Amino acid sequence: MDDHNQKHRIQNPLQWQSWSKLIAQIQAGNHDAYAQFLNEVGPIIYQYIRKRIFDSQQVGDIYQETLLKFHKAYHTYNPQQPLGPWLFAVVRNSMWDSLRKYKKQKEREFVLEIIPDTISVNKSFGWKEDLYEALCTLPKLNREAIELLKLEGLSLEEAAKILKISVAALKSRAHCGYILLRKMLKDRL
Amino acid sequence: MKSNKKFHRVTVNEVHQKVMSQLIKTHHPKKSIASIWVQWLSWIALSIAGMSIAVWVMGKSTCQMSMMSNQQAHDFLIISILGAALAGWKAIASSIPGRITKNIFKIILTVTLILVVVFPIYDAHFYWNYMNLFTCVIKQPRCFGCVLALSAIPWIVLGFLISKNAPLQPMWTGIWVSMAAFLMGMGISQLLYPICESCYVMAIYGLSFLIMILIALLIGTWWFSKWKK
Repeated sequence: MDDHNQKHRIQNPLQWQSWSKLIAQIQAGNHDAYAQFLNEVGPIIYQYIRKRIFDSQQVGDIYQETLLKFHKAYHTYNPQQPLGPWLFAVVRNSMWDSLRKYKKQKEREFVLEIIPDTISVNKSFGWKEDLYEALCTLPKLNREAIELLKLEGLSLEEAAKILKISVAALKSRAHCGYILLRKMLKDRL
Repeated sequence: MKSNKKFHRVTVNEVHQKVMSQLIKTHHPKKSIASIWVQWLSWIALSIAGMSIAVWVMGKSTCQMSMMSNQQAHDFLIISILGAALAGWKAIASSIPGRITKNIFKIILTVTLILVVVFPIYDAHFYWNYMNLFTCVIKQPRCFGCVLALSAIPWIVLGFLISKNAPLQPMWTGIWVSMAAFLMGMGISQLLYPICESCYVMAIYGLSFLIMILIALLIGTWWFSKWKK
């Protein structure tokens, strides 16, 4: 729908009346009326937001949140009252709420000029040997689980079948094994 | 440039279609809320019923003074009940999107609220010398509890009615709810247990009011913003 056509629709009082009737049908649970309303009013809401928000990515998010808020609040609309003030009160409020949320998020974020090294790996570290040693010291139950899943590359179901245990039990054994391995290899990092 | 525009529109349409399908999936019939008049009258009726029970449980007044013989107490009672009624209306109106109260209503409400505050202050200087704000509360903790307990009933009733609506500014709605409930509680307390000493009124009611506003900010904001989540 182009801008001119949309402007004409907004200025037409009969159009607003038909939208009011649609909301009454939405309140009664009519899905088609809901789809029609969103398809007709959606572009108007979108234009309203786009004129006030410059960041195009934010516009999409705010539009989405506005429709969600409309969904939660449509029961508060009285079809005997004019629709415009009600609808734009919801849209405006949703817009401000979203902008406030964005502002808070922005305040928490900070730009890093230099990305720090989170871990410094010892280059001379002999992974294979140490990993093998650590694996050997693991309890048998955990070692078997890790060997089947990671060294032999079997799926969870296949490994569970071989060990004759459930998938959940296998996951638990493997998880405990990873924790023990991490503890053992921690000093090497 | 053209291709960018086209891409942008497709993205918006995608968002629209996605949200629309989700909303329609979760859509079910919702009864339209009752009008402000109905909600307001329900609030008054239910609050009075609740407070009547509370007063019956609390027992009769022990105050020796007769309210009817004191014009100031009588006026103060009328102002507080009027303030409660107006603030209650404002609270309900603020919980329905797009409901703007008329300027004349705002003026009457403001004047009434100013009178509620000014009345005991204006009257206080006559008693200031022999009444102490803090000793009032310490000597009469029952009165303080009584005002709070009576205010809690209209607060809960109004809060329950409003939680069915969609308050766009939960904090302000919460403040109006507290104001209305406090004024109603204060009015009924004044009617049943009339107090003529203004300092006493200031101490008991002022402290109760502060507590009610604090409740509004803490619980009210959370309660009335629940519909958004």
